[in-house]
Amino acid sequence: MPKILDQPRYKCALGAMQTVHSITKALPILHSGPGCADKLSGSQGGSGHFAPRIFPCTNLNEKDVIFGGEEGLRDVIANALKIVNADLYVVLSGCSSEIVGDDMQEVVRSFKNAEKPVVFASTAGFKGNNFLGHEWVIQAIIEQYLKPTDKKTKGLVNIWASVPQHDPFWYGNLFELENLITQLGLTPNTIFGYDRGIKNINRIPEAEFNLLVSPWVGLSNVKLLEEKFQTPYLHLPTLPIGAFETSKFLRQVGDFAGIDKEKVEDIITENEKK
Amino acid sequence: MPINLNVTSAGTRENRLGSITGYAGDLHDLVNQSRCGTLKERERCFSQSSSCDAGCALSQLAYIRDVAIINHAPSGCTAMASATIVAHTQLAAKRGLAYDTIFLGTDMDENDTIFGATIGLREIILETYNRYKPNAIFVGTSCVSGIIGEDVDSVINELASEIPIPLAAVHCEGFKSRVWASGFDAADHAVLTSLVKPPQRKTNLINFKNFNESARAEITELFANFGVEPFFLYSNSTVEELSHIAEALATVSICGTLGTYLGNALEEKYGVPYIKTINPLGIAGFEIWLREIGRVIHQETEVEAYIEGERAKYLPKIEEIKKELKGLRAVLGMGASYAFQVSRVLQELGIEVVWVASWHYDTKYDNNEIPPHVEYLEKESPYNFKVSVSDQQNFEILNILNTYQPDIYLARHPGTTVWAIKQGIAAFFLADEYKTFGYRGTLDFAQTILDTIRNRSFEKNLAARITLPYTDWWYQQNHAAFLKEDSK
Repeated sequence: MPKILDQPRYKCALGAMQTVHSITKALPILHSGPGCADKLSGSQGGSGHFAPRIFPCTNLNEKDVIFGGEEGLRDVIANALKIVNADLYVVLSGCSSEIVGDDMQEVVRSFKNAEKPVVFASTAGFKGNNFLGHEWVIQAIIEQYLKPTDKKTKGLVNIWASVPQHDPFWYGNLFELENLITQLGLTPNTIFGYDRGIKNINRIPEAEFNLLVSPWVGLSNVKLLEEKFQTPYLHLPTLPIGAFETSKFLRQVGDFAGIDKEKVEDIITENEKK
Repeated sequence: MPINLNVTSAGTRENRLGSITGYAGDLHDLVNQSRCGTLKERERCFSQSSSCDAGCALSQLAYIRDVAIINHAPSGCTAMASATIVAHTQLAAKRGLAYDTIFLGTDMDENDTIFGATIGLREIILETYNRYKPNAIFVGTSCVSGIIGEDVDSVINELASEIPIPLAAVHCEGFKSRVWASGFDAADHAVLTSLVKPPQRKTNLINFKNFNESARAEITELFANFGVEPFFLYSNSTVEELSHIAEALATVSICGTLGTYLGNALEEKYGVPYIKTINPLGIAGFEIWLREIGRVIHQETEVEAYIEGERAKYLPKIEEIKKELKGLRAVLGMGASYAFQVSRVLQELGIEVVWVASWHYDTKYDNNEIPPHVEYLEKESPYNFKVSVSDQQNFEILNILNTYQPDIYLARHPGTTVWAIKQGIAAFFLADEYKTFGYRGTLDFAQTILDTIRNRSFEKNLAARITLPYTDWWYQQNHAAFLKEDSK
């Protein structure tokens, strides 16, 4: 059977620029061809503090493909730090820069003393789709930005769900998950959406546990968080849609968080009455 | 470099037309340097995401309604499929036509980048033909297929005997050109080399190159006065119709950037006259253009009579509205043709053109002449004005807007006017290519400008509540601070 991509439901790994875009004041910097962001943004939200037309990009041309684009990338990152008002800069690679073998890791490493954090995720389009790209971006933030901490905040729960923007219901889903977590007396922490951003990213290591509500996307990330910060995780593959699943969700999370069973049942009864 | 239809690629505008995407100066300098051949690309040490020729080429071909487009690329490059198909299906539905074009990809992965993917491509082309029975298949190349050296031409050649429809490679590797309009030429080249047949007879059609044919009814009516019919392309065209474009009386284009390759190629190869005047935007543009058509189809008297009638109808109204527009100042950000053509229309309306940002600039067109709209402005513009060439670099645009504080910012591409508005400046997104067409368009455009600038409370309120994406430091710099001095 030929490998034919007909009516595509996914994009390439660089599509993860939308994951970065969904973190308030996090800026993707693309080391890619000129058309990548344009094509990838066709079906996603286009505005906010930034938009794909604001994302810095090396717009690789023939000369860069032949002679390499590392110096161009260094310039674009250095100047992005001056020109663009962001909290976190996430450098993403595209197909061309990866095939010609630019050492982007090294370029990004040279910005480790910059005023603002700069991290790198390898997201070449031929390496995988945007679901994997999403994981790779989160992985880059965990590995290169987050610092270990002794501080643990009782009841703080990091929530991870679907791929922001790619799932058209991502924002509403996060709101409802936060709402349910709050009802259980826990404190939700999410990094995507309005006014979360870097301050919530900074709290990730303090959490009591990670909650992943997704079939598989994000599993490698919560496992990495467990390894790096000893934060346990609860993986629920389905979204709590409908009364039955929602009650089940509350019981599962309540059980994992060690919340008094009676209290959980009271919350369920109250919600079902509504 | 002349057009060569014996090779499989149109080449880039940089090579063919001396096109650039980085420049800062003014109108007179630009024209002088174009004449002397001294205009050089100035590269940037900071840039923002632009567009590529592949996006342009493939979306142009997808306007045809009975073909298959196979994008030989990783999945992200084919992310444009859904939006393209939806837009073109709607254009066809507006006219009650069926739109059967499909937009597929070869989903190149890591394996393909190492071992090559021409065997897979061959299977995909065959499967596409068997599954959908399109009337032509276009195979687009990409950065990846270009860098790893996929021989798409050979695959196409080999399949030509197996598949009884036109097949063509569309050479539009994204890294090859910084000028996305190179993609227009790549699409034209594929059409010219695979679909267009030598003329058998003369029709009374005029090829009309445009985007979305929104003025179809108006132009059909206009041309009927002179006993000719427009054939709009590529929107809603078919493979069969396109095979006959060499039989047309002439070729015209709504946009110089869009028309240069196809128009000049049809003229050079088949003797179909290409109307090379300034484009029919505004009053002067419309009249000069129509008179040239009249000359070519021998309808001079009829054209003069038509112009006289329309002038009587519209000019008094346009004169009236000009009183209200007097004193307004505008900044424009548009493609290489529209930027200068709409500037001319603004000047006709008495609006001061403060700054023109052209998304690219062609030093010449395919007939080896300097683009007629810049020559026209050099002669007719009452004053010199600032010009920058910038492939939609928003950071430069917002810096310019902040410095010059115009009454209105006009742009023809999505993703730029929104930032002007966030900065408190009234803006209009000129999406319809016929917005300033002829007398009717000029009047309509004048009214739209008034509507846009009369009540600016939305812009003020929004700007007061927005944190801009750029730092204060940047707003204190010169807009050209990141253009390198000497390049190449």
